[in-house]
Amino acid sequence: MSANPTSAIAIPQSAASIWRTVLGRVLRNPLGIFGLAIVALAILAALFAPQIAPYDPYQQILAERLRGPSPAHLMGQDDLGRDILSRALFGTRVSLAVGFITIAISALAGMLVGAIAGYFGGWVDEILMRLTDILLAFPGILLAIAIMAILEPSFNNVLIALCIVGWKGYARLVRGEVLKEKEKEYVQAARALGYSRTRIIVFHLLPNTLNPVFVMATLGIAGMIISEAGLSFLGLGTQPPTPSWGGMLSDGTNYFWEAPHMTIFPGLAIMILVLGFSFLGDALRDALDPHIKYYSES
Amino acid sequence: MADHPASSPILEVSGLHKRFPLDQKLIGAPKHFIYAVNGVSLQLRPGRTVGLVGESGCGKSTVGKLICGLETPDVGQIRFRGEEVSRYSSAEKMAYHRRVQIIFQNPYTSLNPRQRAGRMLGEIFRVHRLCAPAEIEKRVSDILEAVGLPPESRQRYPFEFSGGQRQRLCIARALTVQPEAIVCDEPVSALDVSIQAQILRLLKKLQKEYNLAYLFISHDLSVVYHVCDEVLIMYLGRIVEHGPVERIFKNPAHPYTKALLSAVPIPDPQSGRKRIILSGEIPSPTRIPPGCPFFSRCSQRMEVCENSPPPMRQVGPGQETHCWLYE
Repeated sequence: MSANPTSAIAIPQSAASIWRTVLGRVLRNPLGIFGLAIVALAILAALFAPQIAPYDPYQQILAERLRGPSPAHLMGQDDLGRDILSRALFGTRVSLAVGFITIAISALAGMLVGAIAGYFGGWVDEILMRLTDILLAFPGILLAIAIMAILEPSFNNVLIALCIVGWKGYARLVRGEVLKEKEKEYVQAARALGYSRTRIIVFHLLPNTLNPVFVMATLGIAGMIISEAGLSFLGLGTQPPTPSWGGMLSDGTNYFWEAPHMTIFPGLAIMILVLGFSFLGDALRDALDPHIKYYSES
Repeated sequence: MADHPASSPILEVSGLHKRFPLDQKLIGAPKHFIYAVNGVSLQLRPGRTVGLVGESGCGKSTVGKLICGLETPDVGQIRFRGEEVSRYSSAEKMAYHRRVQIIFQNPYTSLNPRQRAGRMLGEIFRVHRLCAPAEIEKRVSDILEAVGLPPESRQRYPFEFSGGQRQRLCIARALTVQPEAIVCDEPVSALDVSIQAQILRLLKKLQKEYNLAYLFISHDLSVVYHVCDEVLIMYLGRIVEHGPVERIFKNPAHPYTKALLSAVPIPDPQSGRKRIILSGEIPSPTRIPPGCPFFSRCSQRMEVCENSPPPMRQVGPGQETHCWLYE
């Protein structure tokens, strides 16, 4: 099977077994284990926040405001006396939801735009790609801030802003992949069978661009989480009192010298989760690298 | 074989031209072209195989693609059962895709790596509504059996097949719509010699069973000799000689055909045959010479060849050549 090494990974024995192989490779990489563990823990924390959180994240105890970490409140309390650990656990929900939803939407949108541009070429390609170039020229977070300034700050609008900023990279990536794939004979054969363009793009071209998109998406979640935290920090994102890491960080800046724990813990949470996704993405990229023959391993 | 009474052609190609722009810009017409096909005519008949031979880059694959509707000709006609293909409505085009199919050279890139064999074939039945949905599974098994693959292969991805099996699968794909003509674009060039024979036998068997017309594109003359009834020799987008396979191989008329044939290995060191080694450059397909395309490399060139295109002359029963030598 060495005739076509580039498609070695794209040709699974079965869907289940390729993911088992990829997972096995990720787990052979120490950073991969680390990343996967963090992401898994974060997902568990988000799902079971109400069960795990020691306190109600909204419950204010003004008498205990700005108290540092103690056995009762492991991460201390904020300026309204709320338990920071509980708020951080609930904040995981916002971060993960934003990360997953925006990446899913922007990856899908980008894939569609990229596939159309790559498959049709000519004018369509020119227009779509100049549009993505324009978006690529803006610093993403700046554009997101501008969009949020136009829309009103809310969770849904954060999603919209981040998706508008997020799809362009996928469009570029998928366009390149489609340009490469569409010359292959299986696409010609599909055309010779009279298949519609929609069918060829959706069922034949797009599935064959999934691997790089998957890696880019895993790495991209980290970026989306940072962007959401940034927007919330600026007061443009998730609105109080909903606990979000960016918002908590923002609250903490007013009391940085008196209560550094208000800033440190949400900051750590962001850092660790982002690291987790980055490590997982790196490990996935290595695991999906077509130049490493996956079938030669057990 | 040349004496078979010729049945009426199902597919007729005449005066086909195709050029590809080299400097396609958004605005303004392109100025430079690759002239891939410059006036090719041929006919395909049921149960008969026409060989299209030439070196790489001579435009033979483009002819195949034009016939299958993968490219549209700039000039010239493709007629299927007397009907002009370019005038077809979209429903008629769909029907044409069922009548004329193609098999590609590289079995490693001609199957979608993410599609199981069964799904790939099932998709054809569904898109073309060839049978009731409940029947699809059985029909897929039938097709797989017809090309010599076990029914279990429906569960497998292309990666799990060998090169020969993949080519069988490609043949199955082309066969599913029950075509009348199949363009075989170098169907065995990428395979081991032992596998080549199997695939060629399969193609022969299917031809007999379904009375298929084949256009067999190849650069391998010994394969062409064994499978074809008729041969067209192509050079720089033009047919330089054509005729029944026996005639062309025994009495080649065109200097290019002679040179090609002299390059076929014969397993006999005493055969005493002299190889004709071509010298000179192949003209660039971006600038087709005004006279004979073979002028720059021909060992028997004359003054007239440089600027005047050679006329077509009959040199034997059914054998015609474009060469000034036979004037």
